[in-house]
Amino acid sequence: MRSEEELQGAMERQADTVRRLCLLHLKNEADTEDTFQTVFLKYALNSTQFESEEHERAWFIRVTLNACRDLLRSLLRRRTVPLEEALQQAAPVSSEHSEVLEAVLSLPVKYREVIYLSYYEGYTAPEIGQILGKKVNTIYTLLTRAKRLLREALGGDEDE
Amino acid sequence: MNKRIYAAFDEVKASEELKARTLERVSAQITPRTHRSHVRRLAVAMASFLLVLLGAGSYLVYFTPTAAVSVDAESGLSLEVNRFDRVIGVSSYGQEGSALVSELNLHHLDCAEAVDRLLSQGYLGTEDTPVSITVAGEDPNQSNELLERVSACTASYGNVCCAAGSAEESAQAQAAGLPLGKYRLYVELQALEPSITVQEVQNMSMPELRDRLAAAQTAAGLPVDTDPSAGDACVNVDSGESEHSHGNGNGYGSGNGNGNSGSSGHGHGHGYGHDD
Repeated sequence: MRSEEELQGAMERQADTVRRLCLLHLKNEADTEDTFQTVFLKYALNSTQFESEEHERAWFIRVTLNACRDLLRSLLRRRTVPLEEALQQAAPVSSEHSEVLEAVLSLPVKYREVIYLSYYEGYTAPEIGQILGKKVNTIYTLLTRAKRLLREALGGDEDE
Repeated sequence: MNKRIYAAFDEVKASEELKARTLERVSAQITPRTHRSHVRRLAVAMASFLLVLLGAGSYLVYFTPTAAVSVDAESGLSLEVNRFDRVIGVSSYGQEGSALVSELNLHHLDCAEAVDRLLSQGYLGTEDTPVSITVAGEDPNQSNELLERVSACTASYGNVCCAAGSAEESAQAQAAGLPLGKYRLYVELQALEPSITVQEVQNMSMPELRDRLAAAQTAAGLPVDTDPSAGDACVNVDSGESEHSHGNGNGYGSGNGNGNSGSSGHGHGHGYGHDD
């Protein structure tokens, strides 16, 4: 069991990551709140000693993705909300960024995850494979397809 | 494209309200959980302790003898009785007594029922064998009640004599290795025949001892004791009138507990004396 101070520290360090992962999967604020509670309660009751902030972040990513999937799996939660609404709820996003996020969120979920982990978190394909519990080759394939779809949607070069 | 994606995601942040609400809820879930688990553990520990205490207490109360009922016929038996008038121990004197104890299972029976079983099933000899039953106890009320109940259930037997004995006398009888009824005869006999020893008496049967006493009384020119089966006259108090007596041990009959000061040992170390 972790102390209140540890919980607050982790909240400051990892809340944004958890929020972004929720955006990838969840379409409304209530589900996001539920997932936040699940993830941070797990953290509070967990006694793993993290070697570094990176180690801690990887733990949070894994736990959040699982929590999101569990939530979506529950039949009662299978309701859909328009994409725009989800984005509005997520954060005040500028129109330029909104277009990018919309493009990412319109991808199938397996592509969204690898895009986020690769482009934002900067994980390599083997690291993503480890986090998602998938083979490295699968990750490479997913990344290639996701990038192609995004390029089609957004236009421009990859490095721009 | 990757810069744009990075920048877009970077703009997504958890709001302060979301963080605060999560912290509040998680803390609320953790605190009562710990508290509840402590309370539960404490409650379980307390309940177990009370259960053990209750068990030990009940055991102690049940298995603590508070009265002794001595049954003397051809052989001698002593029943240890608890405060619920249940037989919790049977001791025997002499070989016949030992055989009787192993044959009979009187444990946990009501004392009056145990006495009735002894008498009705002819364990104590023939119908004419004089049987002397002596009740002695720590608590005068219990002893009186017990004596009444035993007397009532033995009233139909002509050969039985019930009497109250003092706790001190009971302890002395136990120390001498004699059942109380036999011990009383021994004391009476000793007054007339100082040379008689406990060992001699131990080896004598009750009828032999009675005959010996009667002979000694005749020789001394004293009236011979009435037959022990003399009915009500035999349900009496250890009145303290005879020279060997120690006073009114449990106050039965006279209603007061004067006399003995200090406590004397019983088989289980309970003091029976009164400090009035």
